[in-house]
Amino acid sequence: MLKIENLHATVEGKEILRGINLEINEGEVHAIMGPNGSGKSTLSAVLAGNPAYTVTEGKVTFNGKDLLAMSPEDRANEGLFLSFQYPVEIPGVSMTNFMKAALNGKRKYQGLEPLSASEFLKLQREKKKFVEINNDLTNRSVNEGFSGGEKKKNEIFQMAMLEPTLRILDETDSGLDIDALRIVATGVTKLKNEKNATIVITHYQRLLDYIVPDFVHILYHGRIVMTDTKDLVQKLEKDGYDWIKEQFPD
Amino acid sequence: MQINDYIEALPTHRDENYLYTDARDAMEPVEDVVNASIDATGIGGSVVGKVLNVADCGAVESAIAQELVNLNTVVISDVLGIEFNEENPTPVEVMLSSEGGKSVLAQSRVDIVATENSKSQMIVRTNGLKSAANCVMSIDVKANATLDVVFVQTEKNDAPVFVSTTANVAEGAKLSISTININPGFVRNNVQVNLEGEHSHLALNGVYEADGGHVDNTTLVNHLVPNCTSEELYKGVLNGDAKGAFAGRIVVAPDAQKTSAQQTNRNMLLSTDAHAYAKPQLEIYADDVKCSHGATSGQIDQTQLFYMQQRGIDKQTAMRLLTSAFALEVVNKIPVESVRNEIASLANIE
Repeated sequence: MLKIENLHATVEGKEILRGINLEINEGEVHAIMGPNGSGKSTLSAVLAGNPAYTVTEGKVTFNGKDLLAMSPEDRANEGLFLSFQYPVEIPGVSMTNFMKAALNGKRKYQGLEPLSASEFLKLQREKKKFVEINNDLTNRSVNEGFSGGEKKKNEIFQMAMLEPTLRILDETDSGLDIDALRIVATGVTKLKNEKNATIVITHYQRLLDYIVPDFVHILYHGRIVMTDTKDLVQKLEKDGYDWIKEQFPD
Repeated sequence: MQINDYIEALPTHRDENYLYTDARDAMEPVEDVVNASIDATGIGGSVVGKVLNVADCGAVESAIAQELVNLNTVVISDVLGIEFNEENPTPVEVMLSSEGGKSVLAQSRVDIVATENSKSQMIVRTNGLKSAANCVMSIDVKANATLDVVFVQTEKNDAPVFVSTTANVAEGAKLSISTININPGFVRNNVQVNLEGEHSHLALNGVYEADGGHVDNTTLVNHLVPNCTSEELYKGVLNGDAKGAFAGRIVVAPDAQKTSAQQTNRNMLLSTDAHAYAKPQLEIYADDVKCSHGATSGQIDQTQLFYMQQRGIDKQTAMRLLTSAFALEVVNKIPVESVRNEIASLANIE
C-alpha cells in the first residue's frame, strides 16, 4: 500500500528526515516510536503533504501512485488520513459544512455524486457511535472550544466518516485522560479491517495496549534505527531511549 | 454654476477624506447627467411613499460628501420620500437603476423618515446601476424609533458608484446601516450619522468581498449628546488586485459624556496584489467615555487550510469556507433576515 524509500525532508532549512525506508501493507499496524525531536511528526506531516515541509530526496508510493506529486487533498481522497496531534480550530465553519465538503470532495474524486442531505445525516448519525460523540459537537464550529478529549474524538469521528485506507495517528494519545483514551483507541480498533493500515506515532505504551502493533519502529535522528515486534514497546517502557542514543551516536 | 463646475469641485486624492478614492477622477468625463430610476416595493399601509420636489426637501449636510451632495441637489428634480409609521413586518425594498455606462452620470435621492416609536427595515439595492451613479440618502430617525437599512450590491457595477448617506438619530432611537458589496466594480460609500438625542444607538456593519475592483467605506459618527452608543464592524476579503479602504472617524463632542463607541476593521488579503487601507480616527473632546478602534489585515490561516485539505477538501473550496467564516461575524449582524440568508447562502456548500 505504502512504500517509503530513502525519504529526506527539511523544515526551515533544517534536515529532519534523513533517509526513511518503510513498507506498509493492507491490514498492518505499525507503531513509530522515538525520543522527542526524532522526526516522528515530521514524517506524518510530509506524508500528508504539509507545505511547511520540503522533501529533498526520496520516493513515496501510495497505491502504486507517486504520493509526493499529489496535492494534500488528493492524498486524502486517495485514502490517506492524518489524525492531528493538535487538531485545528476553525471558527465560523460548522462541523456539518466541513464534513459535507470533505465527504463530497472524496466522492467527487471517486466520480460519485454528492450525498443528499438525508443520506449525509444518516451516515453522520451512524458514525458518531464509534466515538460516543454527541450532537452538540457536530453542531458547532470545527474544534472551536472543544476540550482536548473532544478534539481527538472528533478526529476519529472524521476518520469514521471518511473511511481512509491509511490511517496515521500522530500522538493521538497526548492530552487524553484514561476514559477518552479508551474511547478513541476503541474507535480506531473498531474501524480497523483487513483492507486498511494504521501508523501509530506515540511515546507511550498505553495507546498500543488497545491498538496492538504488528511492527514497532524506532525513529531516531531522522532514520528508522530499529524494527521489531510489539515486545520492543515493553523494553522502551522499562528502559527508555538512552540505550538507543548510546547505540546510535550521531 | 454649470454642472461641470460641480464635477470639477469634486474632491480628489489631495482631500483628506478622499485619500483612497479620487471622486473627480472617477467621474470624469461626464457626457450626460440623468435621474436614476427608483423602484420601490413594500410601500403602503403605514409606510407612506411620495415623490417630493427637491426644493421642498431640506438640505442634506455631509462633512464627508458635501460636494457629491451639492452635485446631486443641482441635478435632481424628484426625491423619493418614505415615511415609516408604526411597526412594519416586511422590509421596504428600493432598487436603483440606470443605463448608459461610464460617461453617463445618474443621480438619485431618497429621504427617509422613521416617525416616533416606529420599527422598520429597508433594503436598498444598487445592482441595477449600469452607469456612473451619485446616490444620496437622508435618514431621520425620530425618538424611540428603530430603523435598519441595508445596502446590497452583489453584481459588478462597471461604472463608479457613490452612495452618500446622512442620518440623524433622535432620543432613544436605534439605527443600523449595513453595507454589503460583493464583487464591486468601483464603489465609494459615505455614511455620516449624527447621534442627536440621548440614549440613541447606532450599528454600522460592512462586508466587502472583491476580486479586483475598488471599494471604499468612509464613515463619520458624531456623538453630539451624552449616553449614546455606536458600534462599527467592517470586514473585507480582497483578492486579485482589489483595493479596499476603510476610513472611520468618530467625534465625541465635549458634552457627550458616557459615550460608548467602538470601531473595528478587519481585512483578509488573498493575493499579493490586493491592498487594504485602514484609517481609523478618534476625536474625543469629552472625558468620561469608552471608545476603541482596531484595524487588522491578515492572510488565510495556513494551518486551517492544510487541515481542511487533509480531509479531502480542495484548496479552492477550503478558501471559500474560510473567507466566508471570516465574513460571517458581520453577516450575522445584518438585521434584515432575508438579506442575511441571501448573503450567507452565497457561501453555502451544496
